[in-house]
Amino acid sequence: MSSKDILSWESKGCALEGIPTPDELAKCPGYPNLDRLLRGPVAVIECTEEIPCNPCEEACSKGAIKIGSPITNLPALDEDKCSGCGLCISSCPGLAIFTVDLTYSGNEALVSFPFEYLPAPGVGEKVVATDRQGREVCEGKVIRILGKPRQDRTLVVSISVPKECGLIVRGISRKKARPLKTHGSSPDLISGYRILNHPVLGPQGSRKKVAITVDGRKIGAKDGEMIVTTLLGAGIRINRYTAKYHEPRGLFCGIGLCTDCVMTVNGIPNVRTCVTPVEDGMTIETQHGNGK
Amino acid sequence: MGRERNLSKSADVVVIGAGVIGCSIAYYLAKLGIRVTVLERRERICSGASGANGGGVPLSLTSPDSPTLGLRKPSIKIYQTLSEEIDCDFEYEKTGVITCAIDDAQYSLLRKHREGMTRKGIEVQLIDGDEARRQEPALGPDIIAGLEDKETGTLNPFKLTFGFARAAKRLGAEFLFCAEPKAIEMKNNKVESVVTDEDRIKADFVVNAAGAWAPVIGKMVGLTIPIQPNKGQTLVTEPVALNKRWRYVMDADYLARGASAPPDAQDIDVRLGITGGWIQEKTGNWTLGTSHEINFDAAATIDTVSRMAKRAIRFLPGLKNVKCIRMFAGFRPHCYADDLPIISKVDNLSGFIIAAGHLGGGITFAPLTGILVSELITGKETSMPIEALAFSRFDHITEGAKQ
Amino acid sequence: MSSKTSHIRDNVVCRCEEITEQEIQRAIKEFDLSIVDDVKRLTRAGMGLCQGRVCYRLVERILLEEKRLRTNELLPPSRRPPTRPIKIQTLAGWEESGT
Repeated sequence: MSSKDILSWESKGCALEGIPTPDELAKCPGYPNLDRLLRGPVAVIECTEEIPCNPCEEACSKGAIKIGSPITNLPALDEDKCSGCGLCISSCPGLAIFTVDLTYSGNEALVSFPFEYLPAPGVGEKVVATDRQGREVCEGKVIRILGKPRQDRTLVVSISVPKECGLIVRGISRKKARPLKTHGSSPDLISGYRILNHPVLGPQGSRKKVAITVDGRKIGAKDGEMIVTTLLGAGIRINRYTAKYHEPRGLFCGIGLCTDCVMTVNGIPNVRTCVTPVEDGMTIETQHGNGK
Repeated sequence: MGRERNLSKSADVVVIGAGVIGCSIAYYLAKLGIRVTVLERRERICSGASGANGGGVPLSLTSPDSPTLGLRKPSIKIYQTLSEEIDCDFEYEKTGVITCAIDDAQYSLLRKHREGMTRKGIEVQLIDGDEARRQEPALGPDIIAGLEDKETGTLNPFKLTFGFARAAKRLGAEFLFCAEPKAIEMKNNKVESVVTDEDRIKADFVVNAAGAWAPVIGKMVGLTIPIQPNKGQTLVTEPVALNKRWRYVMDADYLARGASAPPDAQDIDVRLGITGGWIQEKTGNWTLGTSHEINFDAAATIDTVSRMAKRAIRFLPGLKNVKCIRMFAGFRPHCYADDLPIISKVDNLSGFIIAAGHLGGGITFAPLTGILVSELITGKETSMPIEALAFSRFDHITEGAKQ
Repeated sequence: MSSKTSHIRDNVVCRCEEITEQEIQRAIKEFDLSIVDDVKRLTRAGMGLCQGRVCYRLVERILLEEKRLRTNELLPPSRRPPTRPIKIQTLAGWEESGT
C-alpha cells in the first residue's frame, strides 16, 4: 500500500478547534515523517503546546525523545532511535502520545493509545474506532492491553484498524458503556452507581449512614458526602428544571461553580448540591425554575 | 486599538458623556438632522450612574415642592411611546410603587407626603398595613401602612441607553469611545472645539453631559460646576418567586432624608444615607438599594452593605434566606447646591450647555432632558419651564473665560 | 415534563439564564457590542447565579469571531463581590458576628 492510500484529516486547527491540522502536526518535532511511519512501528507525539512538561523525555529508555532546555520545548522524536515500543504512551499527562504501526499486516495498521476509562475493553473485542474529534471512523479489534505497574493505571490499548485509517484513529467509542438511567428509577438501583472499591481512592463505605428525603422519598446516604453524590448513588441524575425552557439539569462542573445542580434544600432554593454535605433528615426537592 | 489622529473633525454639536443623558441628547439632536459627535471617556456606553441603577421611573417619590415634580408627568408620558419611537423595547412597565412605614414617625411622613401630593394633583393611596400584607404577602409584619403610587414604573436602563445610542447612530450620530476631552478651545467667549488625545473636533455647541464628572469638564471652560458624586450601593440577589402585587417597594425614610448623608449625624444609617429602595426585576432578581455616600470609591463596602441588608429584611423579611450574588456601586451626579439638575446655557459662554446633576432622576428625566437640550440648541422656547434648573442660579462666576 | 426547546436550533451559551448563541450574536450585531460586560447587560448572559463563570469564555469567543478582534483587544469582564452567594441575613448580621 502506498502513502497515497493513507487517509489524511481536516480540522480548523489548534486555535479554533483544539485539533491540529495535518500541516500543524507535520511542523511538530515529535511527529514522524510519513516515510518513517511507513517503515514500521513508531511513536507519534501529537504535542502542540509549549508548556513546562517533560515526563516523555524521561520515559523513553532509548533516549529517542528530547526536550532539553527550556522545559517548554516541544518534544522532538529521533525517528531512528525510536522502535515504537510505546513505553512513552502512558507517561504523557496530556494523553498526546500514540504509536502507529502502518506495517502491522497487509491491510491493517496497529494504533496504540492511552486509555483511562472504566470499564476497560477486552482483548479480542470488536470496537468502533474514533478520530481526534471523537467521531466514529471505522471498525477495529483490540489486540493488546498493557496495564503493568509502570503504566501507572493509564492503560495502553492497541487496536488493529484498516491501514488507511492509521493516521486518523486515535481512540475508541464508548457508546456501549453502561447506560445511565434518568429520574424516577426504582429503589433497586440504590446501589446502582456507588463505587464500593475505587481504583485510585481505595475502598469506600465506612461512614455513618443517615437518611434524607428527596421529593418525598426516603433515601439512605453517607454522613458527610455531598448531596449530589447521594442522589447519583440512588440513580437520580436530574436536580432541577430551568426557569425559561424547563430543561432538566444535573451535575455539571461538580465544584460549586456552574449552579446546574442546585436544588431546594430544607425549603431554601438554589443550594449547590455538589458542595453541600448531606445531613440527617434533610428535605430535598427537585427545583422547578427559581423555587419558591 | 488606536485610530489615526484627526485634527480637523467637525460636528454641529459635541456631547460629552455617553450615559443615558448624553445618548438621549444625541438622539433628539440627530432626529433634527443635527450632526452630533458623542465623546465618551471610557470604552462603553452607560459607564457611569446610567449603568448602575435599578431602573426606577418614579412619579411621586420626591418632595411636593420640588421644581422637578412638574417634569415627571410629562417624562412618564414620553416613556409610554418611546419604545416604539426609538425601536427598542427597554422593558418599561408601570409596576406601581409602595412606600412603607414601620413606625409612627414614618407613618406621619406618609400622611404628610400624601397631603403634599394631593395638593399638587398627584394621586397616591394610603393603605393600611394588614390590607397591604393581604395583597402582598412579602411585606413584613412591622409595616403599619403603605403609600401606593400607581403611575410609577421601572425599565431596563441598559436597553434604554443602548437603544437611544443606536437610534442616534442610525440618524447619523457618531460615538467615539476612550475619547476623554482634554481641553475645550474657546474664542471670544464662544466654544470652538473639543480636544482629545486623538482628535480636535470643531463644534458650534458643546454639551456637558458628563454626570458625576461634569465639574472636570466645567473646569476646562473656567466654570465651577457644583456637582459631587453621590455613591449608591446595590445588592443584587438570586432570582426568587415574583412578588404578588408590588415589585417596587420603598422605605418611608427616603421621603424625609432623600439623598442626604450628613457626615456628622449620630445614626450611622443617616450618615451613610441608607434608605430602602427595592426593585424586583421580571426575572425574579431583586436589586436592593441604597446608600448615599459622597465619594468616588467604586468598591462595595461591608459597613454599608450590611446595613442595607438589615434594612431590607426589616421591610421584606422573606429576603433573609435569599442570597446576594453581586454588589456594585454607581455615582449619582449630585448638585449639592440645591439637589436639582442643571439643564441650561451659560451666560457669557456661548455654545456651552450643561445637562448634568440629575441625582436619582437620571433615568426618569433622560428623554425630557434630550428634548430640552435640543430646544436650547435650536433656539426654540423650551417646552417645559426650566428656569429653576439654570446655571445662573449659582453664585459662581466664570473664572475668566479662556481666550 | 416536556422540554420546550424543540424550537431552539442553537446552543445555549449562558446556562444560568438560558441565553443562546444566536441571541448573543444578534445583540452584538444590533447594538455594535465589543465587550463581554455589554453583552451581559443586553442579553443577561452572565447575570445568572454563577455570574458568568461558565459562559464568559464562550461569550469572549463569540465576540472575537463576530468582531474579528484579537484576544489582547478584548477587555476582561468586570468582577464584583461576593465571591460566592451569601445570604442577606448573613450580611445583615455582620456587625454582631464581629467578623
